[in-house]
Amino acid sequence: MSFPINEHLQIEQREDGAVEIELSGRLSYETVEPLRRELERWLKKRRGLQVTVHLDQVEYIDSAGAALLFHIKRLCQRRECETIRGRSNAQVEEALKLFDLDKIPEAPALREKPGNIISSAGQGFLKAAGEFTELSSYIGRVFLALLWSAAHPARFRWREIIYLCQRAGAEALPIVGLLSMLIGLVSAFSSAVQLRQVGANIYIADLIGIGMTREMGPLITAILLTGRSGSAFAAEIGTMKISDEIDALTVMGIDPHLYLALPRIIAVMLVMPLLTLFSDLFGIAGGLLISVTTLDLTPTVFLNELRGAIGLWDVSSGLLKSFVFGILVAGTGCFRGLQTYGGALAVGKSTTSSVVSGIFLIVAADSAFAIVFHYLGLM
Amino acid sequence: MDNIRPAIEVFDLSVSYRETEVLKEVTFQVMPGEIFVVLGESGCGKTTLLRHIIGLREPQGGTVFFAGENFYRMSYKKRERLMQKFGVLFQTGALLGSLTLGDNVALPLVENTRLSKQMIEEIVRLKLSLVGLEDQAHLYPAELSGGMKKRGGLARAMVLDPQILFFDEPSAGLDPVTQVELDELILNINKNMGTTIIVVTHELQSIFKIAQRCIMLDKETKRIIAEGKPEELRETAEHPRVRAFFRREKVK
Repeated sequence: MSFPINEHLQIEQREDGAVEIELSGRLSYETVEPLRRELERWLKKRRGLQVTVHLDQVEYIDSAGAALLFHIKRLCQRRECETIRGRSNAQVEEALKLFDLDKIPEAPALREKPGNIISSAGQGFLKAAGEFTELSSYIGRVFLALLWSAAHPARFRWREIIYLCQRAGAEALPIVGLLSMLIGLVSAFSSAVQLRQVGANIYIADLIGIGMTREMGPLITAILLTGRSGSAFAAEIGTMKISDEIDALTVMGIDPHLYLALPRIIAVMLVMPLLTLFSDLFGIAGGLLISVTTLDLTPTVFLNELRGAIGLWDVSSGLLKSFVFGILVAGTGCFRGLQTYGGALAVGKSTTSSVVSGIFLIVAADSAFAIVFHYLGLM
Repeated sequence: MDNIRPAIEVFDLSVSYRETEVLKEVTFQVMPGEIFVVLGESGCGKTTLLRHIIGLREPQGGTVFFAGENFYRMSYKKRERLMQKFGVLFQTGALLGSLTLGDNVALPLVENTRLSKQMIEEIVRLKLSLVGLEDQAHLYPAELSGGMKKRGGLARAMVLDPQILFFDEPSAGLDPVTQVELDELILNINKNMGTTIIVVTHELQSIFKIAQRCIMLDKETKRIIAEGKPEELRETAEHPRVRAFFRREKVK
C-alpha cells in the first residue's frame, strides 16, 4: 500500500509489515515542520514495524533536517518499530557526518523534573534552615568585625563611613523631606474633615505631632532607605560577589564583613536618626500648612498646642526605633548581597529580597517596639 | 577564486575610542567557506575589529560588505535579517543567566523560527550533543564550568546553521585537550556545513591547526602588518614583529 502524503514525503507499506519512508526535496528549518506532523500522525496507530528511511532524493539537509531524522528514529522506538537507514546520497551523508545520530542519548531532560511534594517540602525546609545558619554566621561575623574595629579604631575606615553617610544620608534628604511633607499634608487633610465636625480643630496638632514623631517619621525614613540604600548595597555587593571580588578580598586576608558590611551598617545607623528628625520636622510642617489653610488655626496656636502635646519621649522613642531600623536596613542589604550566587539574575533576586525582607523586618520590629513600650508603660 | 564574491569585505575600516585610535584603514576580504584568523598581540584591537564586523559598533571610517552589500548602509530590517545568519561565540560564552543551557540554545529557534516545541527540543539535543553537553541541558549557566559555558555558547551560536561563525578567543581559558577538541569542532563545522569561520585569537597552536589564511594586526601602527597562510608567514615574514610572533621570540 502506498501513501503519498505530499510531494516531499512518500510512505509505502508492504504486505509483510515493512515500511519505506521516502523523503525528498529540501529538509530545512522552513520545511521540516509539516513533515514532522504528517509522520507523527501516520506512525501514531502503528506498532512493531520495520521502518526504512530513504534519503537519496533529498537535495539539501541542515540541522533541522538532521533533527527530523533523529525524531523519526525516536518516534519509531517509542512505537516498538525498528529503523533502518535506507538509500542515501553523497551530499546528505556529508552533511550528516557532523552528527553522530547513534550517540545522541534517548531523551535527556531539557529541564529538571520537579520533585514530589514531600521532597520539595523537605528541600524547602533545608533551604530555610540553611538560610538561618547563614544569617546567624553573618550576624556573628559582623559583630566580631565590630569588636575588632572597637579594639583598633585607628585602622577602621572612617573616610568610607563619611562617604557612605553622604551617599545614604545627605543625598536622601530631599526625597525624605518631600515625602514626609506630603504625608503630613495628606494625613492632616483627611483628619481635618473629621475634626471639624466635632469642633476639635485644635487637636490636629496633637494628632500630627504624635503620629509623625512616634510612628510615621521613623517608618517613612526606614522604608525609603530600604529602597534607596539597602537595595543599592545588595546590588553592589552582589555584583562584587558574582565577579569574584569578594573572594579576592577574602584571599587577601580582608574580611568582607569588616571591609564592606560594617561601614555600611554604621553609616546607615548614624544617618537614619538624623533623617528621621528631618522627616518629623517636614511632616509637622505639612500638618501646620493644612491647619492654617483649612482649619482656621494660626501658626502660633498650632505650635503652642504641639509643645504641650509631644514630649521628649515621643521624639526620642522614634529616634531609638530609627536607630534599630538603620541597622536592619543596611544589615539586610549587605546580607542579601553577600548571599548572591550565580549570575545577573541572582543580583536581581538579591536586590528584590533585600527590599522585601528589609521592609518586613522594619514593620516586624516596629510592632515589637509597640508591644514592649506598651508593657513598660511608655506609651 | 577571483570571480567568487567575498563573503565579507572589510574596507578601509578606522576605529577610535575618544582620542585613541585603535584601527587605521584596515582592509581585507574573507572568502565563503574559508577559515580566516585575525591575530595579533593582546590589546591590538582584534576584538574591536570583530565587534565592528558584526555590527555592534559603527566604525568612524570605512565600512563592511556582506556578499557585496554595505552593512552600515542597509535598512534596519535587512540588517537584522542578515545578523540572523551570523553566529557569534563571545569570549565567556555570554549565556543568559536566567535560562537553562537548553533554553539558551533554544532561544534563537523560539524567537526566530516557527518550529514546534518537539522539533526545537530535537535540534537543541542535536546541537548540544555536538559540543558534548547533552547531559547538562537542564543546568543553569552559573552551574557550568568555564569551558562548558564556552561550548554552550557555541551550541547556541550554531543553532540556526549560520552561514558565518565568529569566534572571539575560542581557546582562551580552556585546557589544552578541550582546546584541541574545539579546534577539531571548528574544522568539522567548516568542512561539513561549509560555514565561513572567522576566528580572533593569539593561540599559535590553534592558528597553525585551523587557519587557512590570516591577517596580523599591529599594536603600534594600528594597521595590518601581515597577511597570508600562517606557515608561509612563519618561514618568510620580513617584519620583525611578525617573525617574533610566529617564532615565539622577543622582538629584537
